[in-house]
Amino acid sequence: MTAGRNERHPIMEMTKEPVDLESVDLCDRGNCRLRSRRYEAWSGLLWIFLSVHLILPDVGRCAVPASAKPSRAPVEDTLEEVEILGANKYPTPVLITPQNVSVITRRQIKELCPRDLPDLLKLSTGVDVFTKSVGDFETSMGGTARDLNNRMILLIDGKPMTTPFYGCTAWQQIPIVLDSIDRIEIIKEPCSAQYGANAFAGVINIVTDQSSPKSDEGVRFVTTLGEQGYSSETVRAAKWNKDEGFTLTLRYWKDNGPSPLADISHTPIPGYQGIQNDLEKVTGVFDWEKKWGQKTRLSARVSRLTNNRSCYSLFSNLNDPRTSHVHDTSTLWFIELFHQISKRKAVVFKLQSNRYDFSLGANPLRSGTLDSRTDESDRFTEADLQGRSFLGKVGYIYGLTWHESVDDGFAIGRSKPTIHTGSAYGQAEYQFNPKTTGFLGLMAYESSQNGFDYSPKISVLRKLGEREVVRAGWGRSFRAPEGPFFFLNPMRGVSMGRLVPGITQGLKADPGFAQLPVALQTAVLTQVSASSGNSALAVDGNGNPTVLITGNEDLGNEHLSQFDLGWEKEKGSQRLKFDAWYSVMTDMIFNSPFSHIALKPTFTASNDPAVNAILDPTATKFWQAMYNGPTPLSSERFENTGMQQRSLGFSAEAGDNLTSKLRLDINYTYQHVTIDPAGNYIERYPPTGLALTTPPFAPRHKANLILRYRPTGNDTITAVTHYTSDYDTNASLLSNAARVPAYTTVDLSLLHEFKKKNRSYLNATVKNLFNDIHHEVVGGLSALDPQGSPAGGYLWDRFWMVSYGTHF
Amino acid sequence: MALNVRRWCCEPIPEWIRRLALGVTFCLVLTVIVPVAFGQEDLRMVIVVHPLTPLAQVSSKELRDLYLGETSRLGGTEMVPVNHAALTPIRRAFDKLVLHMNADEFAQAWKARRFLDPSQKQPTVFRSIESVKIFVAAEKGAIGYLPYSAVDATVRVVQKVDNIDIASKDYPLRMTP
Repeated sequence: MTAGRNERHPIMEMTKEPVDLESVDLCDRGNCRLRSRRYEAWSGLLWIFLSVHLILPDVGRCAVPASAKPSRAPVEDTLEEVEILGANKYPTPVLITPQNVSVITRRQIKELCPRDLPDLLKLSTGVDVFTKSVGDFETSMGGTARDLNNRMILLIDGKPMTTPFYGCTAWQQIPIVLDSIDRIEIIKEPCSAQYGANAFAGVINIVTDQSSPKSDEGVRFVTTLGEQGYSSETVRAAKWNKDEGFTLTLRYWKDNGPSPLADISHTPIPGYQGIQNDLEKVTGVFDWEKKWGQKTRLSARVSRLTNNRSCYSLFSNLNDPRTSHVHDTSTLWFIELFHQISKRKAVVFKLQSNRYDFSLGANPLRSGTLDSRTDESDRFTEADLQGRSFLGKVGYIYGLTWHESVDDGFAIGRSKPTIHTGSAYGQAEYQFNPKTTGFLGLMAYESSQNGFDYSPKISVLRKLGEREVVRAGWGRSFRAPEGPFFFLNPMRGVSMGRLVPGITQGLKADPGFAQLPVALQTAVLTQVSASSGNSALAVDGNGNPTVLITGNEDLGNEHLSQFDLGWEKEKGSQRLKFDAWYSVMTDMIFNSPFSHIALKPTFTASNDPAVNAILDPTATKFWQAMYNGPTPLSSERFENTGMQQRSLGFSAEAGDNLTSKLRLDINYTYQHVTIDPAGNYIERYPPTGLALTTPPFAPRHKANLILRYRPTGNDTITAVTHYTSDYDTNASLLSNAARVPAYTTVDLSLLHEFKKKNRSYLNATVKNLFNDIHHEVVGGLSALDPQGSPAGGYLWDRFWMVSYGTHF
Repeated sequence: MALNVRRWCCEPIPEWIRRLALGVTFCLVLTVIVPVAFGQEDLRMVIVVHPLTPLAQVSSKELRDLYLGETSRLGGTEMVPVNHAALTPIRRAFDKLVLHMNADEFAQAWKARRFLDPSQKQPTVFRSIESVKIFVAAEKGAIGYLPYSAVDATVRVVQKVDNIDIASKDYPLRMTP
């Protein structure tokens, strides 16, 4: 869903200069040089009118009483064009951006009344969205999805929101306030040249109104209520005084939906009844800005999010209040100093820090205790010094970035590893002639973990007409593997084995273990529980030891090379857009079964000398027994395999006003994603998991139909039909790979904007009107449920909500 | 010959000639006599602000700085400049007389400015003269320009530009006939 110039949105009607004369009212009252011939006949009368004004010169002069106010400013009559910042790092009208970009505008958000961001993102072409739990989801572009996806990055107001050590976007931990989103820019091309590692297949830049107190002073309040305990309240206060201002935004959000999957209630886990799925989130964002003239500006932001969830999680037990409760806290801040050195040069310095803390209940079957908790704390600090020059017809942006990420968590045994990266980047945009613009970007990158890399990008835009363009581009991007991939330690790392039954039960059930002396069994069990937190070993469902995943300090980046071709045309209210891409992903990282490595146990000594006395002489024998057991204990590690993933696809968008009050927009995305060699998609954690023939989370077809009816100037009825074809999921700790069936949803929204109360509105929305109950994202839950379930996850059914917003 | 003249004079004038003559006369009165009698077409372009903005005069340089983003204030007041669509006569006149550039140069200047500082806001462009007037009348700090004939009591007219009163014949902001 892309905003087009001629969509008849009250606010976002767009054009660009020079203005299309057809759409401009040149014949407005008072415009005394009118070209239209019919106006010539009236020119005499007009002159009489003007002459009367000359005779009575005081008519129309100031002397205005304060009460003579018009009803409302005609914001709907502006010729503002939707601009984006994310693609070229400066405001560029969408149409003439030489990259494949979609924009979701504030107006569209207001009309659609989304429950959460997936409601919006799934309407954009080329973007796949999969809900994982309430408030948590994954997004991807071009069929590059994966769990904890770090093949794209999220920016909020241009600042990266990736988690420090995993490099992914943890959507449930992002301090974003839905009602403060001004627009969402979706750039569906490799963007490492502009944004470095992990801007792999694209970038989503969410632009908020939090940093602009000057343009929207006052207090805004939005409240939303819905089924399944949905409740959201947002208060935003903004004040600007001379050269200084602030914005404070607070949001409370509670949500108990979507419905949990019902058919896995026959789980053997005691007390398990289903997936609890409650969320309670508080977000606060404070922005401050001070200006010194027009040339110097200092801005700062502090934001904090606390998030309490009872939901399914990798390491928690479902529905057990002692273990399934997740507590997230993220604290983000930045300062940014801008100074314009001359009319042609400016410098920007930015310092940013993101810190993510979360604690969650450990799975009792792994930990041996129901009360254990797992805590993790990741943080990164980033400094960026950027120069900007506009010389002649060329705009240059260049700079240096330093980034440090630190992990203090369970995944790598609290060893607090640190990764440093430094990068130098530059981009230039040159206007060859009024019709042709070229973009060139290059980034060089050096990491303390995975060495040197670089990313080039080139794209060209050519105007074919006043509102018709064609664009082509190529880019190479890279993805830095997650930190734990480097640091996973066999004895400390997270065991990726099947979870049922747990380690202690598994050991007890293991025939080899049972042959050991009882004293040694006790010592081993005690040692396992005490020193390794039971994360050292993994056993399969029969209690046999199974694979472990170990770290690989020699791991390198994944790479993506992508070609893009696009064409777009607007004429009157009509809008057509077509984009195609072809990409090849190389150096793909998998936990490779091709490289089983010998596990060298490093069983640490117990504090009990008596236990050590038993353990030390027999440890080797014990492990030897484990190796030679029914399932040899082995280990996999993440490696850059020789596999390639190829993605070929296109998206098409069309829209037109059917009548003066009715507008129809349709978009469709097709993607064909294959793995070479075929049938070897092995991103699966349980060794018994299904190897997929196609990459996961890459539905081949996706379509949206958006019908917008405006019976009056104050009412808008929006109907959205969304279709996603079936797709494979991959496997996770809790689920096996599965095929999720296709689904279609219909959402209906009624927006009423009050005439008398400026900027007050009421929206009533029904999601999934025809109740097409469907699953999203989670694969088969047979890992939890030996009786098996073909597909797991959440059941999305009909859901209504009502929202009211006002500004005073 | 005399007979012919008499006959021509005595015969009734055809209806279509009478109507044509009436039309021509009416048009002459409207398009020539009235303007001559009451003065030339008023091509003055006036600067207008929100009614509560106490701005009595402004200079061309101040306007230029404001519309090109060099400053955001006039007389200590934070201003919100608004613009007309490019290629409209009033916009062309303003670009030429105040900014000393054409629409392309104006766009290029703003492109450079916003390239350096993306937070800069270009003057909002409105579709019609009426819209500019309504916006200026409603938005505190708004400033725009209108044909003198379009001005009414909802907006405040800045009386002097470059120290010349709008009533003066030397008033600098006039559109090209």
